[in-house]
Amino acid sequence: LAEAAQGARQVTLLAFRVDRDVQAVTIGTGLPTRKPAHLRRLFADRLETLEPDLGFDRITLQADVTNAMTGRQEAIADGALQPEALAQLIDRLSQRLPVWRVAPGASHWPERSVVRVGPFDPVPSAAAPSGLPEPVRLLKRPLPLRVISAAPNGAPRQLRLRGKIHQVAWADGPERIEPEWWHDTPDEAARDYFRVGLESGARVWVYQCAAPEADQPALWFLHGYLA
Amino acid sequence: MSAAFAELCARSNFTLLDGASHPAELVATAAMLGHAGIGVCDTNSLAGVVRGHVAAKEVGLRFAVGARLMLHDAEYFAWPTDRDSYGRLTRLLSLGRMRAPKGQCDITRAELLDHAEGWVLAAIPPALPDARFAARLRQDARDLLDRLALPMLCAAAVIHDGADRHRLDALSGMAAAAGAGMLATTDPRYHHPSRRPLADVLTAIRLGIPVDRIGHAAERNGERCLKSAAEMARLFGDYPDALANTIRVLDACAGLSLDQLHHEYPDEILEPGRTPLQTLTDRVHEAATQRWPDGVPADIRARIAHELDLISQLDYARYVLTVHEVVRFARGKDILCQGRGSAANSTICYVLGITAVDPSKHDLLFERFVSASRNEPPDIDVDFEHERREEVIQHIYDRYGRNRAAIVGTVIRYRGRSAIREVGKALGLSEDVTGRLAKASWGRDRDQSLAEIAESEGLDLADRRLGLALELAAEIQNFPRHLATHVGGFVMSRGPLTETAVISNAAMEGRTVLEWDKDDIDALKLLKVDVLGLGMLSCLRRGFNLLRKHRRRDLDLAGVPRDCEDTYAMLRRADSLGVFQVESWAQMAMLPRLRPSKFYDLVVQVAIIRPGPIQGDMVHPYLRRRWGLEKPVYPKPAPEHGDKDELEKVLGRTLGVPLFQEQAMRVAIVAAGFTPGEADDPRRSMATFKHTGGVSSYHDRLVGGMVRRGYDPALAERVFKQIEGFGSYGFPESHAASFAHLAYASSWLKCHHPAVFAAALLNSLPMGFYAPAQIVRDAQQHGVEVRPLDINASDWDCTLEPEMRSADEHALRLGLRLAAGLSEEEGKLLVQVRRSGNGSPYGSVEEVARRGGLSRRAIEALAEADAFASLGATRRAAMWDAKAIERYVPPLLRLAESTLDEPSLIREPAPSLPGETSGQAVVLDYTATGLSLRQHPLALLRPVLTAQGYHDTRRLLSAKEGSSIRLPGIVLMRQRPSTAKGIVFITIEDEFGVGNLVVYTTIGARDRAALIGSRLLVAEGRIERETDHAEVPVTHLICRRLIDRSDLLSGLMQPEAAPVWADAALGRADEVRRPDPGSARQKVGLPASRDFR
Repeated sequence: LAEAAQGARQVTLLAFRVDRDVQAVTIGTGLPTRKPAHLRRLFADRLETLEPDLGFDRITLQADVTNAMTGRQEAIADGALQPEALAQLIDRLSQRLPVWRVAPGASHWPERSVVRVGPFDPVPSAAAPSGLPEPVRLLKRPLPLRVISAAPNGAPRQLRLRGKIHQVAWADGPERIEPEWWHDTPDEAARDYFRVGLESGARVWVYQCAAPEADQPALWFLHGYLA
Repeated sequence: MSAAFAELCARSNFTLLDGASHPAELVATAAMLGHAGIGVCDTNSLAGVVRGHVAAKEVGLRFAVGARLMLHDAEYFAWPTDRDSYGRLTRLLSLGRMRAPKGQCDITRAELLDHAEGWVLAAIPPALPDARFAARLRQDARDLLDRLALPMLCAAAVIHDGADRHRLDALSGMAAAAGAGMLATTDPRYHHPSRRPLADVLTAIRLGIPVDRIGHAAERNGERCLKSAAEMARLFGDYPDALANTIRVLDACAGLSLDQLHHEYPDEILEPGRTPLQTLTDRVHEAATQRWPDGVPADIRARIAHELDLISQLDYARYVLTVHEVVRFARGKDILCQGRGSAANSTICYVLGITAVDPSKHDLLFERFVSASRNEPPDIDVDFEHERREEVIQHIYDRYGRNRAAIVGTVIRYRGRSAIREVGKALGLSEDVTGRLAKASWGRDRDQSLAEIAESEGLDLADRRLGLALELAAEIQNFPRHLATHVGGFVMSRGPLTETAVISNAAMEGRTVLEWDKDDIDALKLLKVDVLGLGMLSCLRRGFNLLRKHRRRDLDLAGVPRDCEDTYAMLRRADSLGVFQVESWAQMAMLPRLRPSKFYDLVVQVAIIRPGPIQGDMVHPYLRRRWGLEKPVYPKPAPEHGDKDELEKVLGRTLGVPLFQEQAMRVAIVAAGFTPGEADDPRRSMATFKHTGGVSSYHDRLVGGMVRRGYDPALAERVFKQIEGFGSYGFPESHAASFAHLAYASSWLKCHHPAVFAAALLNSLPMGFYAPAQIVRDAQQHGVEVRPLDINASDWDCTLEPEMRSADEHALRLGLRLAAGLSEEEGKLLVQVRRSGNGSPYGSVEEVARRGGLSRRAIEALAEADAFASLGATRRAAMWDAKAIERYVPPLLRLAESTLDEPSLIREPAPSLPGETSGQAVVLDYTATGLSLRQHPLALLRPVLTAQGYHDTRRLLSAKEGSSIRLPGIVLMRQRPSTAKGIVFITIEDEFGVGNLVVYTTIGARDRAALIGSRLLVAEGRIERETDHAEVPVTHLICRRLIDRSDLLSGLMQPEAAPVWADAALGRADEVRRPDPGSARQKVGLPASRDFR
């Protein structure tokens, strides 16, 4: 591989058993690599799946997918270079768990403003920041809140989350976000988001939306935490 | 009580592909929401303000004219407060537009400061105002101190983006620091939240990506709409000044109304030292003396005096003089021209030579042209020869300069096809689906919805995307898409026009265009001159020139002999191919029935085949009365209501049936008591009524008025229906008279000089309904000998050659212009070289190439047109020679040429080429010239057609009425008039003549593919013939079935016109049938049919 200036992205180990059975173990890497140590660690856990039975008479290793990989200077100090180390860690983790990164999605609708991308995909920088505190973490499912607010459509004064009462120090809004009309779910309601600072110091992102039934009071939810 | 508020920053859909509401919608909504007024500000444009102004006037709302000025690094709203500052705004925008590419505008801050005096100016901050904005605001306020009408403002928008409070806080601080004020707005892009989807679609169209991918460019909510004054008071509760400032701006803008705009026509036209009226009076008297050397008739003199009086009252003298100047220029250059429109009602226009019809002979009302009671500008349209119109236009620019003359704009709007295509694309529908929908909406009935079309195309209406697309496509209808140039409406002024309107460069080099379209111009009562091009005038000019040259007869439009009985007889036979206005299928079917025998009959004929009279069901009553089957009856009012003959006076000329706009108008006045202003131009008053309360109020007033005066209610209903018909389209009588005059002149030429007429017509193509093949064939049928294209005999134009045996004593020689692919430049060069060589004819193909220096492409075009036949070179041999011609000559050969004087063409032994079959010859003729003098394609196919049991057009004439025939023919034309409720009229042709097909909607829908796609169509149907009262029988075929047999045409290109049965016999022997390589992939080039709506 080094001669061909290639690094492996996918490597398959073929084990030929004496009874002519052939078993295969395939691993993939995020970045092209030709480091025996790294590959050995990736294979280590998976080798247990081989069933030698009467024993293998031949084992081969083949690189199924390769990418160009020119020689790279090894660090003078011990250990691999930073990005490579991260890549190796991700490779090892991906053997056991799904691994992804999040990227900004081009949408006003909060659920679509974050998308999952592969761990090695490039992530574009977010759209120009508004200058206001942005939510840094969105809850997968917004938590229902009990809220006391100044006016029917006004900012919240007090939040109750899971039986605990939080006093609101300040609230900013509303930012009205309406569902994207071209998607196939027109039954979503418009939401009025507020940036809220609690007296505890926590800063949260909450929203209010109309209840499904017409004559019910509006519903409040906690949707995320602000920077 | 809520604080007063006016939205001043509304963006209309004249900010193209951005604003999502019509100006009128914004105005109406603002009025409903209790705004004190409204301002429309489009980006670098005033295109929408006239419509806003008109709409605001109708609902009685105050209106501020403004624009959103987009600089490189900053944006402002600007509202002029008086006429002068308005002029500065238009001048600035014109300046920015004239130097930027079309559709863009390029303004610098320095220029803005230069022009801003007297404006109200509001800076537009970024979403979160920053220090840069604060600094600029301070700078602007300082630079413009005391020059603005109000202190500097900054626009403070509440749009529910989460930053409203921050923004207002920040702006309030910055404004205070700069000594500026805040201006409350919602930065509207649409009048109502329901327009958010359309706004997003417009964004997607603008960015050229589907709406799924516009991301943050989408609207996050529907809050950029107009909001009620109470809601605004709540939103700006902490900033009452921002609300109050909107009223201050509105008050400041009260000093300007677009009604103040009027412009004066130029001075150049005046005789030195005389007033416009004196100049006009002198010119009219001079012209009248020339026209009537033995003394001006008394009634003419009286009419002239009356007209001059009105013109002086209304100060239109300059306008008439300006038009006269243009016409004088054209006369001087020998360009034929003729005025039309209401100008034909004016004796002065007739005397000055602007129009050709004497109004006193036809009892035309001058008041239709200008009237004191009707406060509205007169309208003079002048037609010029279409090929020389450009000279007239350039003359106008030369004479007045591009600052003072501009063409009126035209707003190109979204219509059925473009709407569904672009909206569908924005919603991510496939090309296939949008294409099908767009195609199917060709010629759809007005009452057929897009959804019905989609359903008939087999699309699933339950699909949400499709549903959205159809809904939004319906909504986007009529939205402006881009601004283009009107065909020829000119506005000229004494001072710079840029101080009245925004002027930009037109797409065409050397032209400037006004941002407003003709409706805007009308609404503002600005005067325009329509400089139009008319193909028939070019044709007549050529005809007169040929007459002068070959027949020593000097004629012009006015000199064509009047009342020629032979000419009318020809028209009564529906022998009107090529004649102006009366050559269409419908007109030809009407001529034998209407049987014109005098000029006024032609006026009626021109006007009657119009949507107005047809929809108002006036055709048949008129014909019945004309044939004497029915007596004209003139309903009378109750005796106590005055003149019992009042309607007879109005309708007597047209046997009691209103056919012209003026008559509809007069009926409303005399019978229903309308004022002339209300009744004027039913089209316009209907439109007004539509705005203010529906057609029903017009209906009530008309019918009510007539019944009150003792008319029969049923009759009143009928009159209403007729007027409603005119609401869509009807001709004014004067206009019909002008057109009838051209129709008569062209008929006369066709009748007496068929060869001249055919040559003139061929040289003026493209125009009219017919292709060269039909024109040539018509000439042949009138006994004209037609001679083929010939390299040694043809000029660029078709010419006449003396020939006693031919009708008109001349044969028609086809011109090189008919050869497809030959450029005019090279064609003319070829002729010139032939002449300069002492007329010595070309001897060979290569000599043509050498002497003329023609390109290989040109030689090939000539070869394809078989122009070398007289040299003994067949089409194929000539093509072969053409292929050998190389323009590039290697140096050695060039040397050889100079010494040996040998042609540099490469010598090769002549190949032996197979001759063409007659089928190939005909098809190749059509491909190259659009016609063939050999045979009609169907004559060659006739054996096959007969074998299949098809008839021909002779049968159409001979068979009994009601009998069934199967008629094949080449499709010449398809027409689907909007009045015919989906019926399609088709004209087909075979070697004996033409046949007219009527295809009813159900048949058309079933055999749609054949209807739209065939070149060779077989129509099965029943013959319908009208013989009673008709000069010649009028025959149609009512189709039952349409079959596309275009496949037979490709059979013509077979090497030997192999009988069809041979196909089967050859079966697998494909090799044998492979045609010769040269024509293997050649398309069968019959000229395409022409489809009209």
